[in-house]
Amino acid sequence: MLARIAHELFGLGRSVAHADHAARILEGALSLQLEGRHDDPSALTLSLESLLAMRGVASDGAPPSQDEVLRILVADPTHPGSIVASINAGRERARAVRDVISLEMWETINILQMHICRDDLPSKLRNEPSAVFDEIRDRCALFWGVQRRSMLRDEGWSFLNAGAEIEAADMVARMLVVTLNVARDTVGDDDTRDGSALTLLRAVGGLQAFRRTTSAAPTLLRVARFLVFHTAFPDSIVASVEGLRRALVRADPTPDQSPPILRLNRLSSDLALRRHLDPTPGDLIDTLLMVQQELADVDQAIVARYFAGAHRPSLTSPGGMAS
Amino acid sequence: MGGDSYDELIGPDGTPREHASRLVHNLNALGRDRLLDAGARRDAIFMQQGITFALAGDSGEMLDRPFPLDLVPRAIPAAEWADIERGLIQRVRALNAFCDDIYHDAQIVKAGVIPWSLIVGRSAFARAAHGIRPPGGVYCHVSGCDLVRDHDGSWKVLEDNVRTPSGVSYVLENRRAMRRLVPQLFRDHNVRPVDDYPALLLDALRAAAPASDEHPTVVVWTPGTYNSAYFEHAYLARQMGVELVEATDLVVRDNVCFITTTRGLARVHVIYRRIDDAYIDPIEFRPDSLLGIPGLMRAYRAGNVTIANAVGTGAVDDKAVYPYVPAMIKFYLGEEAILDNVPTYHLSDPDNLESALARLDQLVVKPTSESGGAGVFIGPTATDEEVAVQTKLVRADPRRWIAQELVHLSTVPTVQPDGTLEPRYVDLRPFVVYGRDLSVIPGGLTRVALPAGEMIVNSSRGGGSKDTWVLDDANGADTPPPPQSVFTTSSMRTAPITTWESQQQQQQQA
Repeated sequence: MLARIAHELFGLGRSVAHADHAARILEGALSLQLEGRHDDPSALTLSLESLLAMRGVASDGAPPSQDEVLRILVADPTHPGSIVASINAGRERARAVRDVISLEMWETINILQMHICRDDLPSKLRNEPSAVFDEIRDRCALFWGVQRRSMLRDEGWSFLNAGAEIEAADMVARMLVVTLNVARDTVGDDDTRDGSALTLLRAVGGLQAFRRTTSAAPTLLRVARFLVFHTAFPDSIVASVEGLRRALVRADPTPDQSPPILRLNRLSSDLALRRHLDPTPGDLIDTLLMVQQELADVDQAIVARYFAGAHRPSLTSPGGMAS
Repeated sequence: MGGDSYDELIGPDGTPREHASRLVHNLNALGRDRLLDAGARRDAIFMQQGITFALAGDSGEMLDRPFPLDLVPRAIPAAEWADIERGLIQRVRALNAFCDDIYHDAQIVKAGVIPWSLIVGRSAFARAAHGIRPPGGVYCHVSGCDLVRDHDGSWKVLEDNVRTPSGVSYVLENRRAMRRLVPQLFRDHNVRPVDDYPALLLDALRAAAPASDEHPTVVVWTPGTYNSAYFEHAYLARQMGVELVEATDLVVRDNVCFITTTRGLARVHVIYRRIDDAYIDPIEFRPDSLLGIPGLMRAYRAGNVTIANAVGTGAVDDKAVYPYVPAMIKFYLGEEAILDNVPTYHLSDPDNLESALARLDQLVVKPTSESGGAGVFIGPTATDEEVAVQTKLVRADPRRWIAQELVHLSTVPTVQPDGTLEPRYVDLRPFVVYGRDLSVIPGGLTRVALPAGEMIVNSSRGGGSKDTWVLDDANGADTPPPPQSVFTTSSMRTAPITTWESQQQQQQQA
């Protein structure tokens, strides 16, 4: 497969996964705002400020308004982490690989772009934000659905999935780092406040999965551990890292000589070890920072090994890898 | 205009021509409302699938528009098509022979048929291609000759395109869309299929590969996603199942061409390039080209890679060479041309220049070395001021221009915003593929000028397209006359779009 095409597919997987996860996180955070927990000073929420912090936007003191946050994180095409920027980038990448992906996949992302990236997006976000997020999530789900059914299981498939997995791991790690940082001094396993815990679960669509695997109440720490370590939950960090590793193994004729795969092997065993150490919030934050750094290095190693001939500069995620 | 023009579906007496009677019946049975509904569905589908072209908006920004496919097809009876097909094959054979000749012995020049200065003076004449004979002696792997139909119904060649003719993807997509949107129109017709074109093209490209032990690898080379024909490049690559490459994917080592893959370099045998000669190799052509591949010409000259169409074909389809094509056919094939040219005058000849300038308001003037309708001047629709400007331009450098007699383009009924049908001017670009042998895709791209009276059909000038049907005799029964008509009878019978005519009269009075 052409190195450039593989690179574009990797980027396409990232763009779609980014738009999907960002929409989920925002929707979870907004629904929590509605329930008015912010009058409880110890309530742990994915605050609007923390949403901005996730994307590396510094707050200038005054608490941002919801409109402002949505403008930056959703509608601003010039902000590299915004949903619109991801969708635009995804569509451009899909256009560049139109001869490789199926017509249905192309149509799905083309329609997503036509529906979302429009002039009336800000007013739609004011009036019915969840309709916007629903459409993004549905279209992204459709994209992966038609991909499963219609895309050849070749190298291109592997790189597309590798891009989605690395982005998913990165997004979940960012979300957890921000939330745990807010909470690090106040949270223990006996903490029964579940506001942010539920938000986190909603943000990755994992509420049901958590309930089915864990009988205890969803406290922040339990949920965070679940989202980092639970191998059976597809959006957990360990599952995404494993998915990424498998995708690369599939694409690589000599996986045991591949630097990114070797790095991922090490990361997997490291995570398996840490899982059994009963981590505190502080330990978890350290783990997540380590994961972010490792993923950034893996990203570089992937570019060097597979896309070296491609003309684009080293690809960073729509928002930049672990900043 | 209309009064003089030949309508392809409706005869001068206002009744359908024989081969079109079933189609007209089906159109009437479909009715105005369903035609409009199908049009709305078409725009939605084309936008969703990204079958669009970029058009400059009011404030200069580029906007994606659905490619305007008119839902009334153009129908050509099989017997008539057989003549066109023979004519095209003959013409492309001669053009190919001419291309071989001018880069080798130039016998046609020695025989005094075409002046050497004319050939060598073309900017598209590629000195770098001298002495190179591609495998099979094929230069024009894909050709698209633009045909028009004069008021007497005769077909004429308006120009040849043997560089990188585009539009074939729309032929295939139009047919696909028509089958989905208006299947009723196909009833009782035997329409020749067009969808084996990608296989035909791939066969031809493989046949052009340099001799090698390996199974030939074919790639489609696009200038990139920002090229206006990118849709077509990606479409053809996908349909043929080959890689779509950009310059950065290609590299030449030791006179052999490779693509950069995730597993290192892989040999390439045939490049179907959709990029002009000037940009393919910065060492040999334009050094400022960022799109090119350094060393490609050396690999080409060494016979290690085939470039299709061959380097240098631009000297063959130049508008200045066009008047000599009938002589070429005679010279190389010893035959009379089956398809006529439009009468054309070189303005470098002083006599031609004066007589042309004297009646510029009746002629079409085109710059040589240009394509795509750029710089074309149509005398009969020009204002006095425009005529004066054009006179000045031609006088400044007569060799840059040719003048042609105005061809009264034929018309085909075309759907209007209110669902009625009115005649609009069309041309036809059939595609000829030259592999081991020559074949012509049935029909081709019918381009239609959508604004009333407009004669330039290029999509950059608001042109649309039509599905083109080559009709084998159908077994269907004769159809009864339609009860109610979507045709605005006045327009079909008397063709009242008189803009053009009245302008002509005004000019003659002026």
